[in-house]
Amino acid sequence: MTNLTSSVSDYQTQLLQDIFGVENTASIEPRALQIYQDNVLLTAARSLSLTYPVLDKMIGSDALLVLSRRLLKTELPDSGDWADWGSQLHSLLEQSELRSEYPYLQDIARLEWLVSQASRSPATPFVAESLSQLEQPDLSQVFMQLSPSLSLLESEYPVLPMWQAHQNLAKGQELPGSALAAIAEMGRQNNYCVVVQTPVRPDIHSLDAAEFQWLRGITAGLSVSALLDTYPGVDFVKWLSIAIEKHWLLRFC
Amino acid sequence: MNRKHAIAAAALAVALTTLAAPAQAGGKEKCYGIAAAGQNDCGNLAGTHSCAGQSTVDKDPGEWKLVAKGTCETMGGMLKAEAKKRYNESKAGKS
Repeated sequence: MTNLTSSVSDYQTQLLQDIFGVENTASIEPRALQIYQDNVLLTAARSLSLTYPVLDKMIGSDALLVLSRRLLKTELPDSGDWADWGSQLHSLLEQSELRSEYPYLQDIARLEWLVSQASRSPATPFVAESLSQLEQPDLSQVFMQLSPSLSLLESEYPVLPMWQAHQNLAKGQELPGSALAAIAEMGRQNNYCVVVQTPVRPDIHSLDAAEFQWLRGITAGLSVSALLDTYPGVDFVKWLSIAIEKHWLLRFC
Repeated sequence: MNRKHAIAAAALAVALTTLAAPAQAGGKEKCYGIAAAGQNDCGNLAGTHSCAGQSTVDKDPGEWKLVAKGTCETMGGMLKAEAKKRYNESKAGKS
């Protein structure tokens, strides 16, 4: 093993690199090294099953174990917290043999990662005092800042209904193929959703195209004036009320 | 008042009626009883391990994770004082 670093997370990373980097070394009994590697692999698979519970139900624990092994080859934990690991699972799925038969899995993974990240973020209440910005004479100088935990997802597949259909299934229980096929048929078009942390748990909400583009416009830094010009189909009065209630909006600035 | 200012004024009026924004203190705190197995942040109350990622049971009341201050109880967890009290009670009950 190499020199220890001062931080525990650095030490963990170094340990994992050593466990997977050391091969055919006379100083380590191969059987002992195998035990360490298997232990890390099972921990990794367990971690992925927690971060991606719906994906786990959809593909099963054996497939998840295979994906864990592949992911460890490209991405090792580096923060000291296994919950931070696995962000690139969607890329792995995109390149995997599962893609041809289940092309929506990568977007299910992207959604679950966003939900996982939101669940680990603080809920941020709307800054009520900032509403006074709406009284400014020049709305081209008034901007909106969304919650730091908010993420947007666009998919060709109805990933949100698929994800929701799996929420009440017990581990090991499968959604009937016909039910999944029926959901998949629902939306071979663009599907949009927003994920955000609330004081209770992450909230995932379906959006229409106009709402999605509006939120994209905010993240792109468009002013209130520009948003109203660019997306006339969005009812700002109604949207603002929903955005505050659903913790999407942090403040006007 | 132009169209955009009329919309902004209406939005302001509606937003004021829907507001209920509790203050939230910054920082983090240890939250017991919420960590999934293998995702605890450090040693547990029982002292049976001293490392992150070594819990073996989901939502073990003796295991903790760091969370944003003020969010622990809303996630169904306990702060250290309560967790310790419950741990001591369960220990006394067993002996």
